[in-house]
Amino acid sequence: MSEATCDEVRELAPELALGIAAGEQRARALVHIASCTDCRTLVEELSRAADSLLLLAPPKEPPIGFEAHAVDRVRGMRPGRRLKIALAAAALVLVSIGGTAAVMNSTSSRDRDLAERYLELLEGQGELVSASLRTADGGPAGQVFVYSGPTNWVFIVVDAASGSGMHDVVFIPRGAAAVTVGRIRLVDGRGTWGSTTGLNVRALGVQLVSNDGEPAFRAALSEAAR
Amino acid sequence: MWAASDEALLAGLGAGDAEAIAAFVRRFQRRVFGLAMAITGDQGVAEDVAQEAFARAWRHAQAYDARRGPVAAWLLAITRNLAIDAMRLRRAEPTDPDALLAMGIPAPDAGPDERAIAGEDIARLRRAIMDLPLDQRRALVLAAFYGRTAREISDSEHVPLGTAKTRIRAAMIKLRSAFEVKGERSNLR
Repeated sequence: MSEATCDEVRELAPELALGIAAGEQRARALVHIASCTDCRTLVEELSRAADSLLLLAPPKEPPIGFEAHAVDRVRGMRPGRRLKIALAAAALVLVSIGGTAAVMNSTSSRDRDLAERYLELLEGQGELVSASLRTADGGPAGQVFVYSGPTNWVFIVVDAASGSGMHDVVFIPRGAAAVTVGRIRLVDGRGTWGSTTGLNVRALGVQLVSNDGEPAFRAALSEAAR
Repeated sequence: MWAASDEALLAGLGAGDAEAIAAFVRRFQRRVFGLAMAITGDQGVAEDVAQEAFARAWRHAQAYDARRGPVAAWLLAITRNLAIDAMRLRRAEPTDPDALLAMGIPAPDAGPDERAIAGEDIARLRRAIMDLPLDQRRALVLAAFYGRTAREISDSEHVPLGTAKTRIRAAMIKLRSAFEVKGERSNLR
C-alpha cells in the first residue's frame, strides 16, 4: 500500500474531516499528511468546521439523576485502569461492528478516536514508520503503521486476497516473549485494528494468528524497515 | 469553580478533581445529552452515550488541544462518535436530517455557559447550513451527525456514489468558508 498523493488527500479531505473515510484510504492519507504541512492544515481546518457543526444540536435536559450518575461513572474509574478499559472498549467495538458490517468500511468511535489522537501526536515529536504485512507465503497483505513518541501507536490495515474470522493480534518485541494484545476480525481479507502500546515499536514483530494457532499474516518493524 | 473556563474545568476533570468533575458535567450535560438524543432518538441509549462521553472526556482530557477548537466541540465530537456506534450496533436508521436541522436552535432557557457557546457561532453556522442546497445539506448532516459514509449516503439518497461525494465535498468547502479567517488559505480544489 503506497502513500497517498497531495491530490488524493485533497480529494478525500472532507471525508477525512468528517471521519467517514474508509480505513485503507484514511491510513494512506494519514501517512501522507504526517509529512505534508499543507494537507495537514487543510484537514485540520475542515475538521474544526465539521466538529463545530455539532454545536447546532439543540441542548436538552437529561433525566433526573443523570448528573450524579455521570459524575459517579467518572469518579469510579481509576487511572491504573485506563488502558485496560480502553483496550477492552476497542475490542468490544471492533467485535460488535465486525458482526454487522464490513470492518473495512466501518468507522467506529474507537477508530475515529485513534485517527484523531494519531493526528494530534503527529503534530508533536515522534517518528512514523511502516512495514508491509505479508501472508505466510510472503504475499502482500496490507500495512502496519507504528508511531513512536510520547505515546506509541500501532495501526494495522489488512488488505489480503482472502481470510475471514477473528485473529489474535500478537506483538513480538525484540528480545522478549510474544504477547497477545487484541483481536481483529477479518472479512474477505480486510480489517483494521489500532491501539496504543507501551512496547518499543521501533523493533517489533507483528503477527495475526488465526484460530488454528498459525500466524496467517506477519510484519516486522525494524531499523531496516525504516 | 463554576466560573472557571471550559479549558480549566477540563484540566480539572483530567486530574480527577471532584469539584471540577461535577462542574464539567453540569456545564455540558444538556449539550451532550441533547446531541445524543438528536442522533439516537432514544432516551435510554442517549443517557448511556452521554455518560460514557464524560468518561471518555476524562480519559482523553490530556489529548485536548485548544488550537483545534473549543472544549464544547471536542466533547460533542466524542459524543457523536459514541452515538454513531450505538446506532450501528442497534442497526438503527438515522432520523430525517432535515428534522435535526429544524431542531437546531439553542433553547431559550439555555444557561449562560451554553449561550456563550452558542451565540455567534451558532448563528453563523446556521446561516452557512441553510444557504446550502437541500441535497448538500442532507448529505452533510448525514455524514457529520450520523457518520454515514459516501457509499451509505449514495444508497439512502438514491444517487450515484460520485454524486454523494460531490455533495459532501461541496458542502464542506462552503462550511469551511464560513469559518475562514484572515490569513493564508489552504489549497482545497
